[in-house]
Amino acid sequence: MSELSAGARSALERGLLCDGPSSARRERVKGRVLVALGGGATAAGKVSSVAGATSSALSGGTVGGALGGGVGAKSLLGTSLFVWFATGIGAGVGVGGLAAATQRFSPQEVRAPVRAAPKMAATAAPPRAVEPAHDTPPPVERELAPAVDLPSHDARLAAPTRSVAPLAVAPAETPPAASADPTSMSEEASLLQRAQRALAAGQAATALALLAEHERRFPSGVLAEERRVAKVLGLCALGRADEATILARAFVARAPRSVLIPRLESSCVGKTLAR
Amino acid sequence: MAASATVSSTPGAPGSEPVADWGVFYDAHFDYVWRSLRRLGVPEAALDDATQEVFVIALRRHGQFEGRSSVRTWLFGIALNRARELARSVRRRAEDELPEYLPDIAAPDQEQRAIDAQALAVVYRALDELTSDRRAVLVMADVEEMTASEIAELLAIPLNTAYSRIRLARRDFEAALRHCRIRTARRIP
Repeated sequence: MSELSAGARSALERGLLCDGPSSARRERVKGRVLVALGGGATAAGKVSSVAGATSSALSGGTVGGALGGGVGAKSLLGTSLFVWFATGIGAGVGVGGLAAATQRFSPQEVRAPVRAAPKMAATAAPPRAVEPAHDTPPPVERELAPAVDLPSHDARLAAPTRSVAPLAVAPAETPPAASADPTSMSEEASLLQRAQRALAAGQAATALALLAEHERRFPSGVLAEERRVAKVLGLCALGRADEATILARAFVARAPRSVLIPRLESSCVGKTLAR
Repeated sequence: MAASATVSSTPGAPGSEPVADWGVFYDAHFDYVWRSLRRLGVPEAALDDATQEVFVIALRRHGQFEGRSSVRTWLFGIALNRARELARSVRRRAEDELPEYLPDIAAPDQEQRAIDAQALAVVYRALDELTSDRRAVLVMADVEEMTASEIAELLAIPLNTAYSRIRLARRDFEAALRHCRIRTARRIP
């Protein structure tokens, strides 16, 4: 078996040297995983606690519902997760698997990462303090405020993809938009999950109140994007399509390539967004 | 090594030591999972979701992990399956929608950022020219440095087939790399 040539290997190693996720992205996805696992488990909780939370959710409905915090196929968080299960990727992930979930993983590795990017460890952001709470203006108006807390990767995603410049450079990494404090993240996920459940239960007014609380407590939280979409859906459910449309347009302008946009498109604002 | 296997809890076996919590597990493996998915061709817009899904699957299925392989290899298997599913559902982009590959972490120095970005883009554009199967094999063999036996087991293919695929993947990657360099050189005055 021929080996990769020295030149190709060198290019591969050099190219991948700086290939790694930002700490902002790490925290953002972590929040999503937390919600997907049930939200009730603390971010610092045991794996068995996570299993317990999801087991409870499973007993009440579908696997998709469990992942979306009980919201099921309409789960906004589970936009992708629902697709995932619908396409069969999640087949075999069930109660049986959860029953054995009290076992633990090890963070240790038998083999070191082959091409670990050396910059990764150096760029891990330290935990930040819990975000200060402040007065709560009406939720719609607040969400229409300028996007000052846009994570760096969102800004990059918003860039046009045509005419790729070979020397295009990403903006310098910004700190995580949200607190990396595990308790704060857990609370944020739990609050969003409660809102999602209220929405799924047809209690849109309650959902909006919870989302307003979420925004007040976690204005730049890792799940801010999910909150904004949930708010649009809540407004749709209450027949407030005009307000929902304004929020949806602001959302698309802010994050034009968000994976949550299809969820908006299937809501009451779908037709106006398409125009 | 196996991506999915029966439960084994041999004390001291690779990956069998207890971990304090899922957050530790996540923090220990996030970068690896994210990088693997990107290298396997998951588009930027789907990367976060795909990473999230890999962790949800892993945390739900970890009782099935038997410790015969490293946790990383097991996670790679889950990531590979997810990448394949995405590749089937999201067909190749149009020619005029070339993905933009940028380092997610930018170096503080502007000149260094430009160098990093170009090096990264060359590799990813070369990888994009490979078929998904050969791309996966190339990543496994020359990025993850898996053995042919490991690749064969992960892909459920005969060992000789694995050797053949590795050889072809390397050949294609080297050719793609040459093309990418030529194209890049033409774009730079």
